[in-house]
Amino acid sequence: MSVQSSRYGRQEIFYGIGPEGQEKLKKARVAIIEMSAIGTAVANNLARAGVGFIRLIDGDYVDISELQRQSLFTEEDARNERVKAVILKEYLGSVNSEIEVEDRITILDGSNADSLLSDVDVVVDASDSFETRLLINEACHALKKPWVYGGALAASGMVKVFLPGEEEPCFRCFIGDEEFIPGETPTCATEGVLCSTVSMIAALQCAEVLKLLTDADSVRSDLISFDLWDNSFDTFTVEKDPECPVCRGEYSFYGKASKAQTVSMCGKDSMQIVPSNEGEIDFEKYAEKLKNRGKVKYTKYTLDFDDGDVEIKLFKTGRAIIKHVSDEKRARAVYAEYIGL
Amino acid sequence: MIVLHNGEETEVPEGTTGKQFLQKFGYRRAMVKLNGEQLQVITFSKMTLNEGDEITVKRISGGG
Ligand SMILES: [Zn+2]
Repeated sequence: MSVQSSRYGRQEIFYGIGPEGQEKLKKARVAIIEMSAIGTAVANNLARAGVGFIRLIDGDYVDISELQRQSLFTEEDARNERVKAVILKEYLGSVNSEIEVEDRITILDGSNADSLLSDVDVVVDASDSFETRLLINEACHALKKPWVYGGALAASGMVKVFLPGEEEPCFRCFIGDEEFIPGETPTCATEGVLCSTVSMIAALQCAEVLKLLTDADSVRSDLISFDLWDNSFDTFTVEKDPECPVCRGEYSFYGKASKAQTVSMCGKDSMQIVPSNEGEIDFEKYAEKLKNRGKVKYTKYTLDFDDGDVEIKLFKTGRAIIKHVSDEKRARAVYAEYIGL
Repeated sequence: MIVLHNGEETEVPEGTTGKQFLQKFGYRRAMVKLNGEQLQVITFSKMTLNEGDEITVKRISGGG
């Protein structure tokens, strides 16, 4: 078969990759954190490019409000509230059967970061919170992995590669030590976001990932910032903060045992309860226990319960999403009553 | 006096400092350039703005 007609012909004739680069991509391993708007676009791009192993880390299901920007999901996925990582594994497997796609239906935390990130070459951030990014930053600093930050807001975005190494600034150097005050930071739920914005960020991130994986010497060192609505493109230098605790190896998230947490879900009118210990729930037994109290149905991945008042989506590990609840206490009470803390 | 804020002419009081400017527009966690030169937020905060200054401020984006 000629180079032009082979599967990756267009990448192999591209001077920056070539057949050698393609061979490196085949052996490469990447983890993508969260199957968000950015994450789905990144996963699609890297699977098509022939990255040999892609780990999809996400604990959420598809909602109709996400179809505007999260590529690869359908109305049927939203109707059936299908689990994102599972859909993408299936879809990307049909796009490229030569690569391995792994679905990890979970949320990255201080205690599972090692098992999710230590065996990959590059980590891609597609998360939607500073806290998750601070954790990725610490984990990648400890594990000496390069990672690619991408952040979106309305029509604007930023991308920066963070590399391991004494001289390299980290994400904590970049954002400083200002306390993060929930509610004060603008989010995509308060300011909106365009599909164009996230596609742009994903494209910039993927180019950097391909450079990293093929040992290119042109990996971007500055931060690129753009706004598609006011037509601005800027680059900024990120400097190392001599006071940065992460650069000294002092971590606040990584390696810490995770506590039971209740978190509100961006734009979903739901609260998520993450138990401190993840287990393996036997849905058959649970369904039996709950069936006299309301409607129960389950798949291999999730169990849904609805008694007309309370609506719960329970994941295999014990994590649960309590729907139509915005109050933490109420969410916890529901969890305690129906699932048990 | 008039300064350029992300390309738009904006009226601010004479003697406005960088810090007051950032507060006025509600910036937290941002990157700043003054007349094309990147400055640390802390450095910019202490400066006094002049008529016609071009200020580029980009909020650090956190969405995904
Ligand atoms: Zn640092």
